[in-house]
Amino acid sequence: MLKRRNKKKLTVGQLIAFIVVFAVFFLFAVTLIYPMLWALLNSFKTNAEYFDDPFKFPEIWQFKNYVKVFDKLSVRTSYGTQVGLLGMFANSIWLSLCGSVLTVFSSTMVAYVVAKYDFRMKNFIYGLAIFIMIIPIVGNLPAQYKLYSDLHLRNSPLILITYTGGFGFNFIVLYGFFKNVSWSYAEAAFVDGAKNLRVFLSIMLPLAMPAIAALFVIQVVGLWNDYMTPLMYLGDFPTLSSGLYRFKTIMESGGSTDYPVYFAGILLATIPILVLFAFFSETIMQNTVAGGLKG
Amino acid sequence: MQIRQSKKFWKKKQRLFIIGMLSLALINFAIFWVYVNIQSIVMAFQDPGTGAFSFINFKTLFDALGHGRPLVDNPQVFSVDAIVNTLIFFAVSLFFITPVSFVFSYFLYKKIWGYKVFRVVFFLPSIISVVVLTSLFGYMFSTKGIVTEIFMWLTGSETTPIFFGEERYALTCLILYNIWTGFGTNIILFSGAMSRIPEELMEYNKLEGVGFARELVQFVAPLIWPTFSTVIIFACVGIFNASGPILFFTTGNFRTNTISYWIFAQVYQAGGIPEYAAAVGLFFTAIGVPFVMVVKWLLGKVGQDVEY
Repeated sequence: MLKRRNKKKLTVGQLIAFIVVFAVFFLFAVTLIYPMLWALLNSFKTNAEYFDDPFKFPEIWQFKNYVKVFDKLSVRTSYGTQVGLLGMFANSIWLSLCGSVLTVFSSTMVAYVVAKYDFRMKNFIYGLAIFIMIIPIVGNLPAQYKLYSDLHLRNSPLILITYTGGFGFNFIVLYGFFKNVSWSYAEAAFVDGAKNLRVFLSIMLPLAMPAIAALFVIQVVGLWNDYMTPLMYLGDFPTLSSGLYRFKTIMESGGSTDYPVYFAGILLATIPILVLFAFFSETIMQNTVAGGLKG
Repeated sequence: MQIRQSKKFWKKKQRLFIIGMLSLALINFAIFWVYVNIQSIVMAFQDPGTGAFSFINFKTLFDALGHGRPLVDNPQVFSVDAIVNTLIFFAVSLFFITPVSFVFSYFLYKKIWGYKVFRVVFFLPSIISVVVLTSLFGYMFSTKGIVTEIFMWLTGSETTPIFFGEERYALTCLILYNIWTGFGTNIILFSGAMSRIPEELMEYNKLEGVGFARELVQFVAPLIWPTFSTVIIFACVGIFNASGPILFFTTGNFRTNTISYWIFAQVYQAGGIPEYAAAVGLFFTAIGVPFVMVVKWLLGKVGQDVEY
């Protein structure tokens, strides 16, 4: 009976609303997908064909553009060497993976201790985490740039130490998670003689792994796409984001203009993140949920 | 005696563990947040030439604001344009992107035809690099792009517009880009919150013949209020950081400068004055902090958390 009621048809007004919204959704989705397909089509053309008509199908499909891109798409470092697409891939990988490990692990440590232990600074640290998130700081970039330069973090993998901040969105999510985990597991382990670190590593971390994995994936996507940090601080370690931007700037300011090869490059740069998304889309979507900000 | 000593030892170990777990994040916070922000305040009061304590940066800022809108556009110079544009981006985000995302999420939640595909497609701009997105968007708006073709067909214009190269179009195109890419994360946040609404409530509305609009405003919005207020607070937190991807399209030319882009350019490009940029940043932080606090307080008054 209830099932039959559930399938109650839409009213005429609701059906019209559905049709209108569906049309809007469809058109908006087309605007998002069309540029990708357009770039894909043009990535198989010669440069002359692209300039002749960017909407026409290629006469001969230039699959070799996807080979050429590894040779042609490169940017120069301050010491004169060229970093190609593979080098950019490598830089994107170490920056996004190591940065994500450090960020998420640091947040996990702070969130666990604040959620599960009683100590004097507990409420202050929680309040601090919320405060940092909601305070609109504008323009500390000059001071940040100066500090990174003074500490020789610019153009160095040492920049990774800046990713050890344990607060922010990751902290809030993990704090909520640990708050809801039963402490009886830990108590049982303490009775058996386990130390604090052992309880954290062997009991609490495995329990939190789904949340940690989700945050890790979200973090990887964010760092993979981050162009600001590599542009500002890692000129000699161009990632795919910053490298493609620099290549495009050089290309459009009079360098070798091979647009189809550039399109091949941007599509190749997008593949890893789309694959990651395909595998973890549910995880990403289920964990990108915000509750209220208390405090 | 032995038990007390053992307890003391245990407490000491626990304290060491807590310190160890917090130290990395706290050191990072002290250096890269506290020190950077203190340094930023110090820089704001430094004479760019001599480094001596001075109010010259603030004097320059107030002079720039006092002159109103400059006659000639110069992205290197901070002007009222940057403030106006920043507020336009903020308003679009708060009053257009946020409510539209909410409505979009509602219809995805109501399982409109193809909702699973739409949800993934709408989220794509949140996972694809800005560099890629701006490239693709830019080519659509280039002289050979489809938007240009449609625009010329619709307006009957014979001269090809240069969307990101003319003052009358550039800012609008940047706003369009922000809208085009702005729904993804909000939709996921709203959809996540809506998915936690008890089905029985929605079922009751259905049986009572409650329409979409009423359900959206009177039932869904209050039920997901914590998420709604969080999205609004984050929009407000980003008030003076709100900008389009100006670096990729106009580099601040054609009157498209914003506060945050201008500050970035002062650091990234040669010839910038970091001390002046720090002063501009400090000035707008001083406005932004009370603004966010008031908004947060108001949101707390307007809606209340609902337990379900």
